[in-house]
Amino acid sequence: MLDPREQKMLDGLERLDRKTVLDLLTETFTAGGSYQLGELIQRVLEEVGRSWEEGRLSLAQVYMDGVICEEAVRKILPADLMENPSLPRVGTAVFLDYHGLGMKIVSSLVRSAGYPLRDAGPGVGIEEILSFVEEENIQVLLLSVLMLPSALAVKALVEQMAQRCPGVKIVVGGAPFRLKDDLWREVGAHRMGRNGADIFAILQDLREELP
Amino acid sequence: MKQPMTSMERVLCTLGHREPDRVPLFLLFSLYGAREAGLSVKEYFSKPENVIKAQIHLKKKYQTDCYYTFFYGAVEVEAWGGEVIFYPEGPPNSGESILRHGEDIDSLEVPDLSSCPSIRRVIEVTRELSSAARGETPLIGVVMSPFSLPVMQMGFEAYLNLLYFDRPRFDRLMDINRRFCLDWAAAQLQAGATAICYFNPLASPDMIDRNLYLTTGYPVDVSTCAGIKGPIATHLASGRVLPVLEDIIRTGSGVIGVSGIENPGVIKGKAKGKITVLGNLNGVEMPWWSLEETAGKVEEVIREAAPGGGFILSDSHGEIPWQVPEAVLRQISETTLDKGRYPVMVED
Repeated sequence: MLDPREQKMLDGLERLDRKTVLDLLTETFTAGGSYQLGELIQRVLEEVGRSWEEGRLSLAQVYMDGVICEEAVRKILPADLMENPSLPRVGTAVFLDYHGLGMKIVSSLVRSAGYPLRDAGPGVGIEEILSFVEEENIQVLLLSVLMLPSALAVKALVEQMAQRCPGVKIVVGGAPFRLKDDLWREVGAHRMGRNGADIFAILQDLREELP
Repeated sequence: MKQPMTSMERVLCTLGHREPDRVPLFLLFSLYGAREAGLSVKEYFSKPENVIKAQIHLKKKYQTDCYYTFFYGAVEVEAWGGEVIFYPEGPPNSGESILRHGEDIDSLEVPDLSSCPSIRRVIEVTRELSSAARGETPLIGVVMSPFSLPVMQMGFEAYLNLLYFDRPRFDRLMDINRRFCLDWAAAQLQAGATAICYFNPLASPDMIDRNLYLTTGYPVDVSTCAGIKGPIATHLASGRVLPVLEDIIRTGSGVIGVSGIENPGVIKGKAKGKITVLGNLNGVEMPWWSLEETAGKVEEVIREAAPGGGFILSDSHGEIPWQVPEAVLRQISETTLDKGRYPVMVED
């Protein structure tokens, strides 16, 4: 259940009303700092994710909501406060595929919440991802896939990651994982997100498991 | 003894919302033909004779009721000069966007179909399979909806920004894509395609909310479907159908592909007498199905959606994945032949 302020922000997002969202987030930051700002964004975007899951919002709307929030946060926070160094370092990659919309949505949400985030980009393979994780000191890797063969190839990545970068947690998302519920476990991933906003709960959960 | 219907008779009967001898089965084999032929995906689609041979062989092997001349969606991107990336054991994808900036739309022209080798190969496959079918098997050609094609032309993110914030260029792109789509559908029908499968994933409210769709893509779909001079099957490629079902019916489409997350019986209830339901076995799950599960899934869909005709058994996405074992496909076929005989009597 959203409180009136959260509902007002959700209504603003639904109308693509950037000004209302920016004003509301600015007020929240002024009164409660970056913690309350992140809390508000998470609460509202989790509701957005649930609405998509239940068929009440489209992917296009979810995408626009993430973009509006990210834009607002960039305007409110000084660049050096965008990233909270006490949060785990998150890496993103579109694994073997080139359709990056899902990952763009997740990236917007994760950035809005203050996680330090680095992106390996689309169409990357196992070796590129391993190097990326090492160079950027990634602690949680978010992988998006579109095709079934790419989803199956995650297994080899998980195995090699365990050898080269033990302790790194791998979270997967994308159509094959949505269409086959237990596929993420079969390929050895640590978590699976059914929608972009799942990432907040997953990251919170994983923070306790990180070395 | 009464002769079984030909595939064409069976399909026409069910499209007329009557019960044929048994439920028609459309196993939509595209890249699966490469697996069957022992070729790489790229090699397989490089020669029309590979596809022709595999289609004829697969139809006999699994007693499926159509030929499917679809290669891969990105064939249409090749027509516009775009690149295609081939993967082992998966569908080819479009590569770098052909429309990198909004201004690129200002100078965009409809490409000449005959200058694209992969388009010519699809046409040759259609012509040869039409000849082999002798009117007894329907041939399903494929086009992308003008509204969904831009995801491959410019990337999804850039397309959403166009859709929301640059309506004049969106309208111009739709006009060009519509003309391309009509040319491409006409070429396939002329080569012998019986019907056109109109892939339109963005019409699903999973992707674009219905209100936005009705004011942007829908008018384009209505006018495009009206211009296609043959029967149309609309497929939302795993996207939910129910909230836009009536809209799709009004485009004149005769068939609707149903997603794996929807109840085909519910869709059938709404569609009865108006549009034939195609679906909805979950292709992503198929590689892990046991034979018992397979039979159970087929029986369940038949029980839900087959009574009264107006139903074709198929997968939910419009393509059988490479990873599906032969035994599962055989079980789908055998169960359909057995439990799909009309009047259907499948125990709950």
